[in-house]
Amino acid sequence: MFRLTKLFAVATAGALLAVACGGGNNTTTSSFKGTKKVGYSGALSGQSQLYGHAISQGLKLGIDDINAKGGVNGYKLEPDIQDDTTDVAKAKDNTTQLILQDNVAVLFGPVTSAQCAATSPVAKQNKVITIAATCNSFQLTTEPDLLNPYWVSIVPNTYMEGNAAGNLVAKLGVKKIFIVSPKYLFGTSETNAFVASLKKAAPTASFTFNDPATWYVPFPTNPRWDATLTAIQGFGPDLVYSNIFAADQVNFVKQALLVNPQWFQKYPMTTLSSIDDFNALGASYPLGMHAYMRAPFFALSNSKMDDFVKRYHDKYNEYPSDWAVMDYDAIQVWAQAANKAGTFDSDKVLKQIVGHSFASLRGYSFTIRPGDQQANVGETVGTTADSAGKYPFPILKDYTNLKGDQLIMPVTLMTELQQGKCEKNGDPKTTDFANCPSWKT
Amino acid sequence: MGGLSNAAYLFIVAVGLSLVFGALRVINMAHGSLYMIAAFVTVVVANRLGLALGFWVGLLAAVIVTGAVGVLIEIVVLRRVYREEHLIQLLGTYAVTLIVAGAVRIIFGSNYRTMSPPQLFSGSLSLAGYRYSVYSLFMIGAAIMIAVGVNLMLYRTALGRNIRAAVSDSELLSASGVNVARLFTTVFAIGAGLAALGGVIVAPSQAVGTSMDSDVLVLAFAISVIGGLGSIIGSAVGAVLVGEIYSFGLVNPYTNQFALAFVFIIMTAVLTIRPWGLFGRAEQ
Amino acid sequence: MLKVAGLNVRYGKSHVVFDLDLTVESGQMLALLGRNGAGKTTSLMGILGLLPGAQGRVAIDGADVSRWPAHRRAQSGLAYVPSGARCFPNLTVAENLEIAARRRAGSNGSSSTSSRGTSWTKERVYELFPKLGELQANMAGGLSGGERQMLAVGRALMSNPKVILMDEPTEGLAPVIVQSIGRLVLELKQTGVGILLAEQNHQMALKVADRAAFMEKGRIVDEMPAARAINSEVLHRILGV
Repeated sequence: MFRLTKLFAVATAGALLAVACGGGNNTTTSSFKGTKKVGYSGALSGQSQLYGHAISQGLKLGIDDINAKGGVNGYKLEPDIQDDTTDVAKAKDNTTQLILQDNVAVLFGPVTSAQCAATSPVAKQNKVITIAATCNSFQLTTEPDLLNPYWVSIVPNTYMEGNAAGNLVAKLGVKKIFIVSPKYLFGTSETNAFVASLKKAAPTASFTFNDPATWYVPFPTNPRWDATLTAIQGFGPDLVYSNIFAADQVNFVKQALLVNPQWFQKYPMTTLSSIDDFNALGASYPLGMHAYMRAPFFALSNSKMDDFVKRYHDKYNEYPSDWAVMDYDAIQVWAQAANKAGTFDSDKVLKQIVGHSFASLRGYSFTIRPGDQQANVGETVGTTADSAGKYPFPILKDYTNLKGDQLIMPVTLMTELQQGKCEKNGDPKTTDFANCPSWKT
Repeated sequence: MGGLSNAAYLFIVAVGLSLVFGALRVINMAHGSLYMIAAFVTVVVANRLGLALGFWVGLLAAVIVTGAVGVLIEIVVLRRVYREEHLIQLLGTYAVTLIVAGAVRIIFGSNYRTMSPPQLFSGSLSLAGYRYSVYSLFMIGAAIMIAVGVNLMLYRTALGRNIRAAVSDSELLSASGVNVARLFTTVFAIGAGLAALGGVIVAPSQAVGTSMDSDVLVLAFAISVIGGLGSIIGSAVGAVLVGEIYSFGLVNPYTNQFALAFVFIIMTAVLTIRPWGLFGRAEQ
Repeated sequence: MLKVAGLNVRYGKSHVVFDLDLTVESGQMLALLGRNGAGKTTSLMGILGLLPGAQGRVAIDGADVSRWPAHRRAQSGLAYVPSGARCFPNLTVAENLEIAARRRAGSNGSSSTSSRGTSWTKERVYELFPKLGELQANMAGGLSGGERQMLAVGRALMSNPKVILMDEPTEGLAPVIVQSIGRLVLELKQTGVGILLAEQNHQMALKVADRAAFMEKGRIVDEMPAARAINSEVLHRILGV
């Protein structure tokens, strides 16, 4: 039935794909004892491909730097990056394969929280450390079912980010808010955190929101936002709050500007953003947007960061996005700890991570605290403004680099969450810290 | 309104898929890839040439490039699998999607690309208190024109007559002196051209990226199946149904989480009650 | 006119037609007689170029067309009236005729011997079959069996063929219509068209044919003038008359 020519065609396709995905050649210099693979299941295609692309580049640059200094425990590091197409099941398969077939020494967290929630149990079962630098739902480190002693987060989590966004919006003096958020763990987690923080930050203000049942849009979503744009016009908000990102944010902004070039003046917006989102829209990224960002290089300038930006730009001809910066930090954390431990044994390496401080590109040292193994990393909030030709995208003006210690979840709250003392709600049903006893008081 | 502009580009893509299936009896998985190629070509050309001419030259370039790729695919891959079972055809065209995805990533990179709409369609207008972009209206207008054009081609030209004849009996058609191999290549090129128009038309209003192919393919299949593979009216009705259901589902309380599910619930219902689709014909 | 030599047809591993040799002269008719499953239809389709598994020589007017695809054979003068009066059911009667319309291929004035010099048009087909004229805007799928048969013949004529291959044109038709088809065939012969008629109904066939070939299990077992065939032993043996 299968004629040879057909088999040949399929084989050719497969081979071509393998080349396209970059098998890469690994020449081992004789000074190394051998090679160790570090694994990343990332969105090289699909909804979050922008981020997966940047993360891969950040990791690779980090690995080059580490190898140049002699590698880890005498071993040369080799990136093992698998495309998960922004799909949850594929991320889980990739992670299983990275662990069982490729024997990776460490994993870096996939892009979306849904992917992280699916891959964490696999990594936990096999005792492989995961450093999460992109997915950031606080549930990943506090929800009893998800707890994983081998999971370390060096990205501001949704509690911290929602807190940053809530405090930002509380100062704007708006009353009528339209919320748009992706319908999965991250969206619910961050939106709940934002609303709770907003109410706490402005206890006397009374806010009107669009019907909570309309806050969430399917994720990954249809590329057309016309219906949401019409709904916003119908609601007539003082502010739109969003944590839609990557392709969704780009499409939303593009289509909003087509409806009205002054859209974002008419409906000001507070949103999660990143250099990747800025870069994708370039000069057409709206100015005057209240953005909160995890690691924008231009706001965190220091000699280490500037050197990194320069080398990254020389190598890839792009500016490093927040994601590239954080994953560069992530691999440094692990390499430093493994070198100190003198072994690749996860339990021993973990002892050198938890409770320890690490230098960061972000211009400060962060500490990974015990309990939720969350780093006290900061968040940058500001308003988008013209970069005056310095970059092919806008920058933030009047920005503040919020300190991780101000944002991080109180230990009492964390403990209550980890002990299951807070009711779940939302859809998908997930822990809401607003239901914790200590939050209510 | 929101639903209609959604329906517009989906129709343009789905009608090409449907046309190719109707005449060639091949499910073309690579249809989304052709759509993606066209979008990239449009963005690259448009951004190089600027606002005034960019979009239109991009349109022309995209249709030519995509048509050529389509012809190549038909001659190199499809001709070998017409007589095979559907599974082999699916595998063959799926292989093409992988090759194109890889090639697009190598040529264009994985960053999103964006472009502005042509000046003619860049404004907005108010309707019953809401503002809509002129570009959305242009998309709807273009879809209607394409629907009329495809219909005229099918029912008013010798080519269309031959295509319809091939749908029912390609053997008898070749015994009647029509070069069916060339006809199939032509149909496939037209299908590729329609995929291209879909890609061109979304390029100014969406991020152009390397996952556009699979994003559109799923919905285009749903539309073709609901409307009936091979039926132009079916594609139109299917696209409006899917576009409206999706948009309605998206912004209304208690339904928004089901927006995409609704589309597939309807598809399943149609498959159960009328497996050949609302406007399709049952196969003997 | 049409010359077939050493035609073999295989479907996958099964060999269906063996070393078929036959000749159809201009203005003459050869009746290919045999039971169901003897290989008549397969032979016609092999000659038409519709079967990839066919091997052997097929020549039209001395030109070897063995390597040509079906549409080129059709363009060079082969026409087909398939069994069951197959037509394009989703096309109108007029469209069914237009689809085959063709100026005589390779007509460089001298070599062409078919027809009386006037070529077939839709109007001439409607003159011949007034019923088709009345139904020209109707979908062919809605025609009766007899009407469809007229359409199939009309479509074949529209290509101004040199040779028409007919596959059981009388199957399932009322005797009156069978007779009129017989008359039509005689008329066609007079215009110089050669006809290869595959039939089980030997009565009509032998009345209008010039020669008869008997087919059994994929082989031609005997061939003779039609007049002699009527009382032949082979006719009795093969068709059980």
